[in-house]
Amino acid sequence: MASAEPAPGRTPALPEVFGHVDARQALAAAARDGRLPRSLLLRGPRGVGKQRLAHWTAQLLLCADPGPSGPCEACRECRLVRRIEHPGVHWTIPLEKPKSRGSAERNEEALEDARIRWIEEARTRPWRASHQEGMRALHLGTIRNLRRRILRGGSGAGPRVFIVSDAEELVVQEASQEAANALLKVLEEPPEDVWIILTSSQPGRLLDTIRSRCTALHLSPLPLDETARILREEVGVDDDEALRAARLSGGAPGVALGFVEGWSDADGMGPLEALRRDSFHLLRASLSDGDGARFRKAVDYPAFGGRGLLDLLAFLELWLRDLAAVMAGNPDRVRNTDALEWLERQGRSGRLHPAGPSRSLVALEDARTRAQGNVNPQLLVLGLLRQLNRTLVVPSGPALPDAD
Amino acid sequence: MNFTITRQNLQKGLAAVSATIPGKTTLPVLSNILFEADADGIRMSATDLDVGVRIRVPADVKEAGSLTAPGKKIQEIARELPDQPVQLNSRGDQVEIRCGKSHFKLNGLPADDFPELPQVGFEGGWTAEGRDLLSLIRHTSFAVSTEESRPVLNGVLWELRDGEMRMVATNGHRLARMRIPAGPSMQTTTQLIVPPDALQQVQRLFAEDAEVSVARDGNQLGFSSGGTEVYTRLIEGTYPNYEQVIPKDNDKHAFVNRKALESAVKRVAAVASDQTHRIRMEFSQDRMVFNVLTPDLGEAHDEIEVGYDGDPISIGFNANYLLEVLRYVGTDEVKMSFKAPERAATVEPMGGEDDQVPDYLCLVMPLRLAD
Repeated sequence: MASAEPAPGRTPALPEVFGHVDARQALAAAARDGRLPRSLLLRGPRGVGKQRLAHWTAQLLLCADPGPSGPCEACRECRLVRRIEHPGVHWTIPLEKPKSRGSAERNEEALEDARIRWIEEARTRPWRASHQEGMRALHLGTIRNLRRRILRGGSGAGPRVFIVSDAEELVVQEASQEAANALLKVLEEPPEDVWIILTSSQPGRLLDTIRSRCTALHLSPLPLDETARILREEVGVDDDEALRAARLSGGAPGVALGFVEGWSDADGMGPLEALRRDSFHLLRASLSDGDGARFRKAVDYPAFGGRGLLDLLAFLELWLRDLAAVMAGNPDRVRNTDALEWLERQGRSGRLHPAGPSRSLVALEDARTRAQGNVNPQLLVLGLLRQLNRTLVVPSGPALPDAD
Repeated sequence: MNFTITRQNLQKGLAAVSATIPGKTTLPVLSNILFEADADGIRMSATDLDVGVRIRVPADVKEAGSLTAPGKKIQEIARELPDQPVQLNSRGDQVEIRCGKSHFKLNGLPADDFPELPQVGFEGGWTAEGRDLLSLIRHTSFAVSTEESRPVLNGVLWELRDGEMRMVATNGHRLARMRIPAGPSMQTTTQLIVPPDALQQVQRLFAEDAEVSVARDGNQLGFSSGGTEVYTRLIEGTYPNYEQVIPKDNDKHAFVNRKALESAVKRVAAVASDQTHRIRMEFSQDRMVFNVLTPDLGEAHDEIEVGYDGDPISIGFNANYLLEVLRYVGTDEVKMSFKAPERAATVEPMGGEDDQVPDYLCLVMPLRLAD
């Protein structure tokens, strides 16, 4: 008889918490004094460790022997939270809408199945890039499942912690206002033993009524050298790549992972690196003389699913900010350092309006708002590129170097 | 942990606890059964966090200890083992099973990972006859609401007061209430709202002739008898005043053969609307006429003989609710009582003079008739 493999999942599925020392101190002190808010919103840029800190806070509440600066990391409760196996911690994440199973109840089941699969996968990957393919949302069924679990009561003594990641995904079209309202009801009056922790990198997209019911805690990016060290020491990325990814991420380890080559299910460049390059081509097309390049770029995108453009537009903003930095004489603030030379050539060309990059951010913001609605991405991209061209390029100026 | 157990005892224990193992869960340890071996034998436990079941079975324990092992797998194996003593032995997080020439190793999880079942002190509780408890559950739990808008209606109300045990369940459209005189040992007065899943386990695991100890600790309720224990959390909240909705002045009574009524309702319901399941029942001197008219489907007409001498009345019902209560009323003859077409109707069992008829009442809200 062949010997069975050792049982999987014995090691922590969640890495250590890095950075956010002040936030951790504030949370630990509040928990110690029994005044940790029942509804907490952890907000901050994507990939800085909000979800990890939410689990750390759950650990803090459940730990059998918490110290002055946080949970003991040794007791049964701490171990189970770190393995994402604690019965008192319920984690809800935005998911792609599963194929309809015909009734609301069965669709809720399908969403719960998808959540279970997602958590099973999360256990096998302590470090994940803060980027998800596809159209994810906190669907009505997910929120109803969550609400049911909250109201059903606990199996015994001890707090129950409900973590809702990327809470801004509640208000997207697919999830509907109803999903937000279902959550609102429990946020208003959580049961006695319940803490609810929302995380959001775009708190502006949350409903006012949700925001107003939560105590917000802002998490800042980590220092770049700390981010690079995490990539090197925890994830095993080599020095140069770690530094490059850290700089591009602006101090968000989760985002930095997305730039690391080979750090995704697919081989080759990281998923965020692909988006960064794609957004660079958008900028080039917007500077191009004729509309042809813009048309060609626009038809690269699918004809539906505007929300899929949001990440791309975030990177385009990064390029515009870099262009603005170069034109303002601050090349050291450029994040896309590998394109510094190209950016400087554009800046020196004399054909770009000095205030163009900053002014174009308005058009970009407008495109982002539209992308959250029901728009045709091809039309949205074409409109944006034309608008950027009008804002950035001085008419009848000298030809731009290498813009096409 | 090392013990030897008969195949029958192993299967008995597994059968008792495995129904509580959740089909889907984010917590791997809930798919496992907790084995705890001590000088008195072994205890097996399983839980889905809402309901927990623990059973003690005899075994020859060589080495005390505890471990969790995958419930479904161990059950599959136990089912096919030869009829010989089974040895279970833990090695680290693995459990080794030997029976005759069969030998298995299964990956387990440490007992420490398993959620602790509630600690309920049965010495401070009360006892109920299995027969009474099971009868109460059987007659009422079907009527529990599945709507989430009012969580208290998702449970069965269990009342101990005035020297009797009562169980009540309703979804707002139909209600079932049963009362049974409590034994002399029952001094407790309490009101509990118990999830039907837990009552289902009680129904499954305790025999009619068992003496069941029941105790409450905070929001946890425990049932125990003969080494088997069931634990559940209680639903918090105040149950609505159901007495208020039970009509006291229904003055029109029809005495009906249950089987004849059930068959007639089933027949005409075939033509009823899929949404409302509405059927019309007209009572006149010793006759009950059924009419169903569903515009896009067709119509049905039927009649049966009943004992009725009140004023003629025409009343609409959801056929499904009516069939459901008729299924649980149990006696050959039932008594239906009404006051008016828009008022609640009641259905009660009827028996001969020598029959023991349970104190059971079902209420069904009528549906408005279009004309």
